[in-house]
Amino acid sequence: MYGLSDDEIAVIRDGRLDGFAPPEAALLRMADAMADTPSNVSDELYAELRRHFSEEQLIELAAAAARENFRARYNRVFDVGSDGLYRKGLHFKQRTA
Amino acid sequence: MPNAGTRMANFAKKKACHKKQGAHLSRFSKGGIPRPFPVGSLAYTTLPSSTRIDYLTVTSNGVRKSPTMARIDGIDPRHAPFLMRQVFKKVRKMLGRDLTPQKITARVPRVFWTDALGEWLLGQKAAVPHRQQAVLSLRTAVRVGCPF
Repeated sequence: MYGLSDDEIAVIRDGRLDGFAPPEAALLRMADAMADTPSNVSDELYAELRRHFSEEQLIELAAAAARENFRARYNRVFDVGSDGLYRKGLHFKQRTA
Repeated sequence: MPNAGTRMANFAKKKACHKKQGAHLSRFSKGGIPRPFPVGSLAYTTLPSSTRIDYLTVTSNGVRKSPTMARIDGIDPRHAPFLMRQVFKKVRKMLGRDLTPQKITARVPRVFWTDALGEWLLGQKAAVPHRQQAVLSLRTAVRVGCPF
């Protein structure tokens, strides 16, 4: 899935950070912070994110995370199950950015 | 006219076939005689361990539990308005299936279009690699409890 291996997806699913490069580990921490209620991204985390991403990139990333929060929370109301898009060992063609 | 032996053999064969197709579910049996269920049909049952309805799909190899269905039904994309059908077509081409949340959202076109346009605009060529966006989205989905 977008170049992520099954092991990396397992790390994401288990709430860990190991094996990811510092920019991606910072993104994982940002996702964790945004999914909390109340949502709060600390100054330290923001400084870390700014070391790796431009302000424009952070705007896009914040929008992507906020959108995923919207989508995931919306699905909880109707208890929508998995559509089976991800299966272990199944790899989609990687899109170039 | 088949004799009694042949009839019994046919009955036993049919019964075994029905059992294989999931007709052994007592809920769907009538008078002790298994009722046939066509392959691909959707049945449901309530399991003792759960208060919710679990859905079962009858396959040629028996009964398979379907992924839990949503609380409400979505629309049938074939009956959606023309422009909406184009969106479903595009998603089907990308992911190989219609998405349940999208079918549900399509019941209220305003919400559907807000979602579809936002998705389309954010999915345009971005300044951030898709891999990094995927890392962020997957972790968010996991944290919020969305099964993907």
